[in-house]
This record gives sequence, C-alpha cells and structure tokens, in this order.
Amino acid sequence: MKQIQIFITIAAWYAVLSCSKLDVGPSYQESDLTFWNNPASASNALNACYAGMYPSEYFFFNEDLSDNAFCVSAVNGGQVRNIAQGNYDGTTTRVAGEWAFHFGGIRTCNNLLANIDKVPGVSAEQKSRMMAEARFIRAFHYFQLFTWYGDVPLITSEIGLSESYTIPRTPKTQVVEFVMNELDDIQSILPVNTAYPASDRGRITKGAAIALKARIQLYEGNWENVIGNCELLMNSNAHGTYALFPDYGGIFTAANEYNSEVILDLQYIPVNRTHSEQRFFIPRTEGQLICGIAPSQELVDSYIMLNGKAIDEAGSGYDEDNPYTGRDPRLDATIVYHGSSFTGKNGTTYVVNTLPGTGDNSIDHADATTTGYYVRKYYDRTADAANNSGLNLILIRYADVLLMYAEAVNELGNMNADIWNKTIRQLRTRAGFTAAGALDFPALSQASLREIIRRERRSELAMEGTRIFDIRRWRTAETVLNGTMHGFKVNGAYLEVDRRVFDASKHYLWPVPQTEVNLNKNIKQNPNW
Amino acid sequence: MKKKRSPESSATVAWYFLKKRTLLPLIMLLSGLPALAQHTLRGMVTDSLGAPISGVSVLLKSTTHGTQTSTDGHFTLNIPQPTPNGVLVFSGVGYSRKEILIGNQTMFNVVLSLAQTTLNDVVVVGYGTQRKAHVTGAVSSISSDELEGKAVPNVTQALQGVAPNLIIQQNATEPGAALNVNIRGVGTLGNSSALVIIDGIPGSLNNLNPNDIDNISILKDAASAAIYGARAANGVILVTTKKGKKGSRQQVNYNGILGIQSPLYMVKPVSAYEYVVLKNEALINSGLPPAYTPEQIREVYERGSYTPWLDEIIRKNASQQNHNLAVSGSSGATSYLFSGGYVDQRSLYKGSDYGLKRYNLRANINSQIGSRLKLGSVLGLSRTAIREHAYYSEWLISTAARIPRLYPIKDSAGSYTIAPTASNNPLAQLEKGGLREYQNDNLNFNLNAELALVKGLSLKAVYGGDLSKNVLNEFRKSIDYAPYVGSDNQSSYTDGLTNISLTNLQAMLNYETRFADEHRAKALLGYSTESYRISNFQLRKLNVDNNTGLPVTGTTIDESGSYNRRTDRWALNSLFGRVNYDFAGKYLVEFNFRLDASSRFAEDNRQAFFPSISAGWKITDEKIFENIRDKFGDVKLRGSWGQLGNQEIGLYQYLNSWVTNPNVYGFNNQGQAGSSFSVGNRDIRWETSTMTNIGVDASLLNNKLTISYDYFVKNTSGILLNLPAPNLYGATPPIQNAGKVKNQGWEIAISYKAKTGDVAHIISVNLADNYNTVTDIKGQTFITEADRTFIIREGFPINSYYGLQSDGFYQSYDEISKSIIPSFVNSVQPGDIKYVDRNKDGRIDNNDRYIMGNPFPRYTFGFNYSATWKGFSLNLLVQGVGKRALYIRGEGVEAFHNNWDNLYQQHLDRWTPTHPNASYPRLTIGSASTNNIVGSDFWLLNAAYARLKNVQLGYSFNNHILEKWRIAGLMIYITGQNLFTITKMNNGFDPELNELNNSLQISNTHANSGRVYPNMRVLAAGLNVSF
Repeated sequence: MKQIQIFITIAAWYAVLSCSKLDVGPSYQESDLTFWNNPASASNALNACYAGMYPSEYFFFNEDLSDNAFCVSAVNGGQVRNIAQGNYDGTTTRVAGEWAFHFGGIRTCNNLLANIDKVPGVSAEQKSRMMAEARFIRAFHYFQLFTWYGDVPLITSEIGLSESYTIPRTPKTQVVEFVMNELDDIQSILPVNTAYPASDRGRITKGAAIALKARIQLYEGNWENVIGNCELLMNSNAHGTYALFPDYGGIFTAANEYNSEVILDLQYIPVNRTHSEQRFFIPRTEGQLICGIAPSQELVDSYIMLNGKAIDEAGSGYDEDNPYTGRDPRLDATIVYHGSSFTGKNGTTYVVNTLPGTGDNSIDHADATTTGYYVRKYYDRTADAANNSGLNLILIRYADVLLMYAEAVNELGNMNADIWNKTIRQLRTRAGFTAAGALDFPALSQASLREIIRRERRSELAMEGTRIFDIRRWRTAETVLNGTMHGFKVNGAYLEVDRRVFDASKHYLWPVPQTEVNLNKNIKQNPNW
Repeated sequence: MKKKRSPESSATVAWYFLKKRTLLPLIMLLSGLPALAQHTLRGMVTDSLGAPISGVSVLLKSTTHGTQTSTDGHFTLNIPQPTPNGVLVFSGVGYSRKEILIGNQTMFNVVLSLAQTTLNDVVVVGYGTQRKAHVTGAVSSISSDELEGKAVPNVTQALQGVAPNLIIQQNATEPGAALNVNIRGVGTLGNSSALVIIDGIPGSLNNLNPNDIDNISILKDAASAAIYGARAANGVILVTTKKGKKGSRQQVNYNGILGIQSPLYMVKPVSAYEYVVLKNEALINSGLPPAYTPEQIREVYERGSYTPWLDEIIRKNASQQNHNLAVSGSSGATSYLFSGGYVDQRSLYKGSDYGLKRYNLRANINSQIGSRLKLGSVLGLSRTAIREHAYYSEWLISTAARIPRLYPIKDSAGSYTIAPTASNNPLAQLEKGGLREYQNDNLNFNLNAELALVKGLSLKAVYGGDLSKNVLNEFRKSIDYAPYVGSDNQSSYTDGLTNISLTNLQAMLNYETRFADEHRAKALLGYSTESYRISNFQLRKLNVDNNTGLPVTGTTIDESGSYNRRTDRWALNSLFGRVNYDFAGKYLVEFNFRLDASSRFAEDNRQAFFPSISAGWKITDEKIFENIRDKFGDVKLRGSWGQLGNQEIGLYQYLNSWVTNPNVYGFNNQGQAGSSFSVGNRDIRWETSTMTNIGVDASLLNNKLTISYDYFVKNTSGILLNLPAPNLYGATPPIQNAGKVKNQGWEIAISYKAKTGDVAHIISVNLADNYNTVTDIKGQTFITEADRTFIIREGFPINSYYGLQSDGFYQSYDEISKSIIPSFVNSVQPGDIKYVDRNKDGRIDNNDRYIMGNPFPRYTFGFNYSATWKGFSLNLLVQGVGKRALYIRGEGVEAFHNNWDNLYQQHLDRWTPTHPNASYPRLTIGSASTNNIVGSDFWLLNAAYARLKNVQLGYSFNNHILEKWRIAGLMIYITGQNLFTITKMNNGFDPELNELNNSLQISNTHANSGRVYPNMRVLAAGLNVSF
C-alpha cells in the first residue's frame, strides 16, 4: 500500500517535471537559418528558378489564343477558349494565373540573388554565372509580363508583405529598359553554348541572352536593334554556334534534342519531369482525351504551294478537293489531316481519318478534333501511356533569328536578294522546297514582302506558341481574331467551329488580374477593362 | 486490507467529522444551533440490489438539517426535536430522489432506484464532474439513450439534432467519410473543429463505438472550456465511456441492428428524346448549327432512353448492421466493462463489395485498492476497414451524372461503353478498376490512479494516449475498354502507412472542503504534457502487372506520389486549475485557468494564459422566492466570462522553410534537385476568443418541465490567417494574427414530461442560432473569385456569397435594346438573365456585385418526441435548419456545363418565347452561356429543411415472460433514418450538403457541384437483450 502511494506520488511529480520539448521541427524540411549554409543550396535554388521559368501549358495552349487553333473545352489551358472569344476578364484563369506565375518566378530569382553570397564553397565566378542565369530568367518573366499586361510592377528584390499591398505599376518603357540593361549586362557573363560541358546542356547561354534581346526589340519594333542582335548570332560563332537543323520535322523529336538550331529551350526528362499536353492535340486514338488544341482551316490555308504561291494566288494549282497535295512540306510535318499517315506510340502506322463516320478519330466523336485536324509537331512517340513526355520545348531557335532578321530588314525597306538568300531561302530549302518560284527572291514591294515574311513566320513557327504575340504586335489581331474560325470541308462546306471577338479598344492588353486590383489600391486597371 | 479501512481515508469531510471526532462540533456546524442534540435518526440507504450507496444526501425537508451517507450506506441525522410530520429527502447522484414521512420511525432502510435520466444530476466537466445544479457554464449533456437505437454507423451522425448549437453537417456520406462538427458555429477563419476528449484523453469520435458511450458533455462557453486553454475556442466534446457499476451484479447485454440503406437525392436526367431536341435548341440558341438531324431525332425517339448512368452505378439498396455485446459488473472492489462492437456498412456503389467495417473492443476497469487508492484503466481499441473503388467519388458521380440517356452503360455485347463526352466509364471503374483499402487501427487508452492524501485532498495521475496506425493500399488497374477507346490505361499500386501517436501525462490535485455547513469549496490544480507525432510514408508504382500489382518490366516509381518517412510533431505543456465555491447551493462561483506553452509558436510567443470566471444564483432558493419555488420549481441564473485559444494552424508556420525535391528540372536529360521556400512569420501567436455567456436553467412543475436558455457573444481576435496578398508578392503570404470575428447567438432547450393515462410522453425541443461577423481584417476585402465567389469583408459573415443581383430574364429584343448589356459578354438574347446595375455607373460588371448571402446555417433545431405505453416505446427526432443559403454550381445547376452534355428534369422549365415565366434561362451551350452562369443570386438556393431524422418504435417484453428464459430485459424495435424531408430544393440535391469543411475550405469538386455520393435512407430492425 505504502509503496503504491509513493509510486503514485512519484509518477505525479514525474508528470509535472517531464515537460515535452517544444522546439520541434519537421523531419523533411530545412529552415532558412540552415538552408544557405549548404553548398548544394545555390544550385538547388537556381534549379527552382529554371523550373519556374515557363509552363508547358502556356507553350502549347498559346496556339488556341491565336488564329492557329481552337480549344473546345471551356476549362483546359486556363480558359483560353473564352479569351479567344473575347469573353474574359481579370478573373479568367489564364489571365489571373499568368501574372501570379511570373511574379512567383521573379521572387524565386530575387531570393536566390539576395542570398547566394551566403553559400559557402561556391567560387565567385560560379556565383556570378549562376546569378546571370537567374537574372536571365527574371528578365524572361518581365518580358512575358509586359507583353501581356503593359505596365507591371518592377520588383527587383524580395518585397515585404505590406509593400505588396501598395506597390504600383511601373511604366512599360522603364521595365523594357531594365530588362534590356540586364540582358546586356549578363550577356558578357554567360558562356557561349559550346563552352558549357555536355552535362550542362540546357543552361542559359550568351546566345540565349542575345536572341531574347532580339525578340524583345522585335516585339517593340526597334528594327535596328533586332538586326544588330541577330547579326551577332548570324555572322560569327563568337556568341554561340548555331545552324539550321537539316530535317524540319526532326527538330521537335526526342532523338534530336539539343540540335544545332536550339538557342533556348525548356528542359524535360522522360518519366522524371514531363509535360502532358500532347494528349490535347494528337489524334484521339493516341491522345485519349478531349482534343483541346485543334488546328484551324485558316492555318492550313496559310501554307504555300511547293511552287511558292499562296493557295489563293493565280496559278497556284491549289485544288480544293485535294487540298493537301503540292503544299509546303512543313504542313505535313506540323499537322495531321484527313488521310495523314500517323505512327502511334506502339510503332504501328495507320491512316488518320477525320471525316464523319470514318473511324475513331473522326469529328463525330465528341472528344475528337472539332476542326478535322490534329497536330504532329511536338508529338513525342517516346511518351508514356498517359502521354507524359520528356521532350524539351524550344522557346527560341535559330530559324526564328533568321525570320526576325528578315522581318526587321524589310521593315526598314532594305530587303534584297542577299538578305533573302541568307534567311527565307535557307528556311525553305531546309523545309524541302526546290522550285525556283519558292526559293528565289521575289523582288516585290515592301508591303508584299511583308506579307510573305509574315506568312513564312506563321508556317515555320506554327504550333510553337508564338503566333498570338506576332498578330498582336502586328496589330492584325482585330482582323484575324474577329469572326468565324473554320474547320475542314465536310459535305461541301467548311465547318464553323468558333466565333471570335477581338475588341481593339481593349484586347491588345490583358486586364490586370482582378485580385491585384482588389487588394492593391495603387494598381490601376488597363484601359477599357 | 480490511484493517486499513479506517475513517481517516474518507475524502468526505462530513463523514470524517461523524466518525472520527465527537458529533458535537459537526452538529454545531450543520445546524448552527447550540449543541443540544435532541433526536437522532439513523438508517441505511441501498440500491435495488441491496448494495449500499454512499454520498446520498439526507435532508429534513424545508430545514437546513442534513447529512450524507457513509461508504457503507449508513447515516445518522440529528435534529432538534422529533418531527413526526417531517419529511426526509434522500437524493443521491444518479438515483431518483425519495421522500419519506418520518412518523414515529428512527430507523430508516431506504432503497433508491436508479434515476431515469442518470445525468440530470451530474455533469462531466473538464478534468472532473459537477452536479448539474451547480453548473455555472454552458454545458449540454447527452446521455446514452439519445444515441441508442439509431441505424447510423458512427457517433457523429447519432449526435445530429440532439443538442442545441451542436451543428453537424456533411459534405459526403460515403462509408467512412468525415462529418463537420461545429459548436456554436464558426468563430474563426481557420480550423473550427471542436476538441474531442475521450475519458480525459484527446481522441476522435470516428473511432468510437456509439454503444460504448455513457454520456457526452458539450462544453460551449469559456467558463466550461477555458480549462482546455489553447485548443478550446471551438468548444470541447467530452466523451465518457461506460464503466461497470460498483456493487452491481454481472450483466450481459447484446444489441444489434440490421438495416437496409437506400439512396436519396439523385439528379434526374431528361429522356434521350428530350435531350436531343433540347441540345439542338441550345446549339441554335448559341448560334451554332444543330447536332441532330430530324431522322436522328426520330431514331432516338423510337429507341427510347437508356437507364441513367447514375442509377447504373448506385445500388437500390445496401445492407448495414451493428452488433454490440457488453459484459459489465463488479467483483469485490473491482468493477468492469468489456465490450465488443461490430459495424458493417455496405457501400451503395456497385462493384466489388465496397463498404466499411469497424470492430471495437473495450475494457474499462476500475478498482478500489484499500481505502485510499483507486486505480482505473480505459482501453478502447478499434479497427476501421474501408474497402472502396480506386478512383475519386466526385469523378465517378460527375461522369455518371453527365452522360445523357442516349447511351447505354454497356453495349449489347456486354462491353463498357465510352460515351462521346467521356473518356472513361464509371461502372467499369467500379467493377474493373481495382480497389483501395484503408485499415485504420486505433487505441485510445488511459491508466489512472487516484490517491486520497489527507482529508479532502487527493492526487490523481493519468497517463494516456491515442495511437493510430493507418494503412492505405490502392491497386488501380488499367481498364481495357476495347472495342472503345478510353483512358484509365495506367495501372498503379500505392502503399501508404501513417503512424500517429499522442501521449498525455497529467497530474492533478483535488481539494474539497466544506465549512460552516453552508460553505463548500473545491479546488483543482493540474499539470499536463502532451506530445504528438505523426509519421507517414508512401510508395506509388506505375505500370505494374494488371493482375497481381507486382512490378514488371516498365514499372516505374511515381516520384510525386512517393516519399520516404516524413515526421511531424507538436507538443503542449500546460498548467491548469479550477476553484469552485458555493454558499448553500445558492450562490455559486467558479474560476478556471489554463497556462499553455505550445510548440507551434516561436519561443518568445509560446505561452498564453486563459482565464475564466462564472457565477450562478439559484434565485428560487432566496427566501422571498420560496413561494415560487414551491409552486413552480427551481430557477438558476448564471453568467460567465472567459478567454479561450485556438492554435490549430499548420505546424512550424513561424519558420521560413525549404523543401528540396528531386527532378524539378534537368540538364542534358539528367534530373536536377530544386529547393522551394515558403515564407514564415515569427510573430504569430494564438487566436484568442473572449466569450461572455448568460443563461437560465429552470426546472419547473416537479421537474416535468425543464428549460435551459443561453445567450453568448464570442469575440475572437488575432485570428491566424493567410491574408491574401496581391500575387505580385510572389509567394504564398505567411500566416499572421490579423482578423477579428464576432460570433453571437443563443440556444434554448426545453423538455417536457407528461403522462396521459398509461402513456408517458417526453417532448424535447432544442433551437439555436449563431451568427458570425468579420469585425476587422485591416480594412481589406478578400475575394475568392470563381463562378461561385466568396468574399470576406468587415461587417459580414466569413466567406459570404458574392455576386450580381439578378432581375429575371430579358423578355424581348426591345427590352434588351433599352437595357445595359453586361460588359463581360458581347451580346445577350431574350431568355438570358438580366442583372442589376447596383452601383448605377451605367455598366454591369464585377463592381455591381453584392453580398447576397452566406453558407452558414441559422436556426438549427431538433425536436424529439418519445412516448411509452406499457411495453411499447416510440421515439422520433426531427432535425433541421431554419435558414441557410446554398450555392450549387457547375453541372449541379447548369445545363450542358462545360460541354459536358447533360440536362436534368429541372431544365425542362427553361425560358422560351412562349414560356417567359421559367425557372431556368434559355438553353445555351459553351461560351453563349457566359452571361447566365456568372455568379449571381439567381443560383442561390434556399437550403432550409426539416427532416424526420430518426424514428424508433419498440416493444419491451415484460418480466414474467422473460423470467422463464432467465432474461433480464428484451426489447425489439424498428428504426429508420432520414425518412422524410421538407425542403424547397428540387434539383436532386440534399439540402444537408455542405461545401465547406471544418477549416472553411471549399471543396469545389464536391458538394457545391453536387458531385457527392447520395445521402441515404436507412430502415432497420433492432434487438436489445440483457441477461
């Protein structure tokens, strides 16, 4: 009895004295007090910047925003269908999400830039290169932001919570200036593509910084600057070694990743880091999901004939009942049409039929293409059963440098056979054109050449996510994004798949996301939104 | 041992005085009269089995002369002079009060029977018990009778409707799904789950066997809950499990319920013919070419409709059974209860015998060792085994609901079809898609020892815990849809294991004293240390063998679904105490406090103090109200004030943390690890709720009528929330103590007992209201934009519905030409919803939105009627909500939602030029629907309802029949759940649906688009037998 009493008393005292330890942390995380002390943290933090550079969803679904393709679903791609139809505002998923995505990426970069000096065991030279990579990624985010939204807050350090409720938008010109200065600066720090060891393939290069400058100036219409930057890449190997890859279709395959044409690409790895958008654009039998990126008849029609003439030009030889013969070989490399041959992931080759009642890929299946077309470009046969692909996505390739150069020269009225032969002719030769009518300099007016160069740009870069930016900077969106979008011809008439609206008074800028306007009184909305 | 049973060991002061000392001082104390004992009454009080009852109060009626029985049931009462007309009143906790005319007797052998409502007299409170008459806080107590006989698989469902402001809502009813439990509504923007304590140790209601519960106390106000400090702000649910009764003989009790569940509330698609005609109508209305030719329409008409897919995947009925066997009693100084329970609830889904089984075992043992020591143990073991499909219910339901009746679920060859709008077939997923199993084992235990130290002072030590092991095993099979093409073509195999351990060590000193007869005081001082640890790991493999689940060539590990062991911990050290004082049971005062130190906060902000004070006044004990008391009954007024805390936020939120994951990026096709950060805030502290409560308890007309009313105001400040920051901040903003919410409400519970002839009736009604208002969020407004938009704004309830105000339909082009066209569309047509330009700026846009309602239930009620007549008993419970708005979105309301192609019965009442007074706008499809599906009050539904929740009709066999069979009691009954509902909702959804979880998070794919497993009706028969 006594012993029990003593025992209970001791137990009670033990309870009182045995406080639980209160400094407990997770087993699987680091806090920022410990994080920067680890030499691996610099590259781990930089890799996070890379990972947040650009999403594959935007890359592919951008085509639905343009006159190249149509998304039948109201939700896929962040409601791109509604945007294309003019039914959107600052709450639309893509419009709200893209702003958040880039500012998230910017903070990740700013965080690295603010803390990398604390990391031990990394040389000053390495740190400077890593910072240059992060600064490039930050510049790329701003480029996307000001292209869509115009003026955006320019944030170059990690801001506090209270600041985020008050910071205003910076005029676009100042943001452009900041980005160009940054790119000029890091251009001298970054190595050229051939200077990186093979294990670093995919990192930001000097060439990428120059090419991005060219693209920004192209969008801004600063033609001399475009020419200057393109020439850095075209005239010598001092800023990187680039050349057109001989096989147009092969550029976009897993076998030819890191080919000579790639200047800037997003890195994906089979199994471990994949994108899954191809299910939205390849034939239904392979994609097995709703076809959310269906090429338009307008895109198909824009491909020229092998003789160099547009299909509606006199003497083109275009046959509406046999529309896919005698066309630019890039049509076949880019688009799957009724009667196209297609090789499935299991290796069997079959004919894809899209006319009603002609099989599993025909348009009368609700989740099949609505236009009669599927996409071949970027179809990765090595993707897994669920269409998760490890294929890199190219943001800037050398062909684009040639196209930018041709466009800028022509805009200054200086297009000639020499420039033509260095640019358009090279692209067409590579595509497989042989007829003189297609290859030789046409010596037309500046306006006619402009149309040819723009058409060339559309055909060469179709389904690579840039068309929407081109038609907006050309100010042709109000023409090409208004009215009916068509699909292929069924029973004697072209399908009407979508009605689009583009209001030039406001749609050239996206609205600032509603949350930003709601939460920050100093963020003013774009005109007419 | 026997020798040791000396008077010193008694904890009762009165007893001490009586036995050890002379009687004189005691009498002086008791009576306040000179020490002139003139008449002595003696006796013994026993229960119906002859066992002595201690602690029974013996009082000479209308005087202050009284005493208590000793541990052997004896009492001695001295009164000034013989009073043959006097009446002795015997009252003991848990027993019926008895009054005996004294007459000439001096020896009384009194038998007290167990009270009908055992708990009317004693209430379980934090770390102890309290006489109901002395309770000064707001506590609802629920007895086991109120839980029994219901055909429900868990405790939470059995609690629905039984106590005011205990609000139980569901956002899913699939076997094993958790329910939302709120006490007095929602006072925080964060987690509003009540703390659940089982026999003194934190635990979970889900694991309990309802039959094991003796009683439940709901601590609602600060006075009753402050002793649980930092976790009590959302109220506390104290569960006490059954124990063997000291001195009782062994009893074996079996009860079982066998029932059938059938689905309630399923959406009703239109016929195939109606569908094709209306699809054409919608396409034409949307400026698109029609999809069906007249020939095709004719063909569909002649073929008729296939069964709706929802009806194809949901069974008409499924069984449900509960069995429970308990053995209880006592042997010497040890009392015991052993019980075993079994629940088997089959799923309504077709497929591989899905459902839930729960096994419960319990061993509760209490032993008196010697005279000073009590030892006890509580062991509750449960295993919950859930077997379900390998998919997500919301997708099974939504796919099935979205397929028009044009398509059979299986074709004539028996293959699962793929409808054009789908890429899979929910029946195939149920029947061929594999299996997910959970096996959750839980042990809630506690070992306790109580030692009487010196007079009135005892020491109690408790060690307990709640240990869980949850096993997840999912084998998702790839489905071959040939000859169709569908998705679901990747097999996977997932194993997961979660171990949770909560350990809790408590030490408490209790002191009880009584002086000058009328002054009684109790004090408690305690210490508790709690430590929680959860660790889990998961492995998910893709492309496994489709028959065995084993790895084969091509099998890969899904990195995102796999992780090594991750351990999280928290700990809480606390000091708590209570002082009660009462004067003659008339004036009552109580003080509670708790001092908590929590690991969830940075060192400087770790400690917080939560005090409360409450007082009661038994007004009818005052001399001037004696008349009233004698005529009507007792009335007690009470009031309380106190502070409570809420620390339920994510762990380590005060730290900036980094997570490193492999393969976030790659160079040269080699994966690269990447580290991402989340921003922390070192300054965070508890949320503090300051709560004031006033109440009245009345027990009138000889206890026939009891009324209890409470009014409360709860102000919660420093609410921990992630104030939305503009996205340009670039990260999820850290949590901060930023908000203030006021919650106020009232509750009333009335119970009336009556007898008409041989029929005994009990009617009880509870009705409650609570209403929350955001009072301060730094002047900001937070809007969660979606088609169903929520807003948090000062002056309005948390997460109010925000949208445009609708004003009927545009009826003509003429009307349109005179109206403002919303700026979010290019044009509108007659039959589209018209909106009001509330801010009168000549535009209809987002700036015209207003706060149109909120999702919180108000005027929640329960009505219970029971009647007994001879052996028959009837019990019925009506439960409901008097006022609530519900926003259902997506295919829940919208025709052709997002190109998913279905129409339901309610869409037939659409606007057409010849039917202008429709309930649904003109049919449209795709982007042409933009105008109509914008968030507006057009879609806000009235979700008030009253539901006949439970009916039991039983018969108890009388004793002569049973004696032959040596049966102590036998009752058979039939029972039903969810039998009848009155509601204005007519779209195939259950008005009980709730889209918010206990953290007020919105489950977008569940209830608010109607993608939920149907609620069910249960009809059952039960048997209750004891030996």
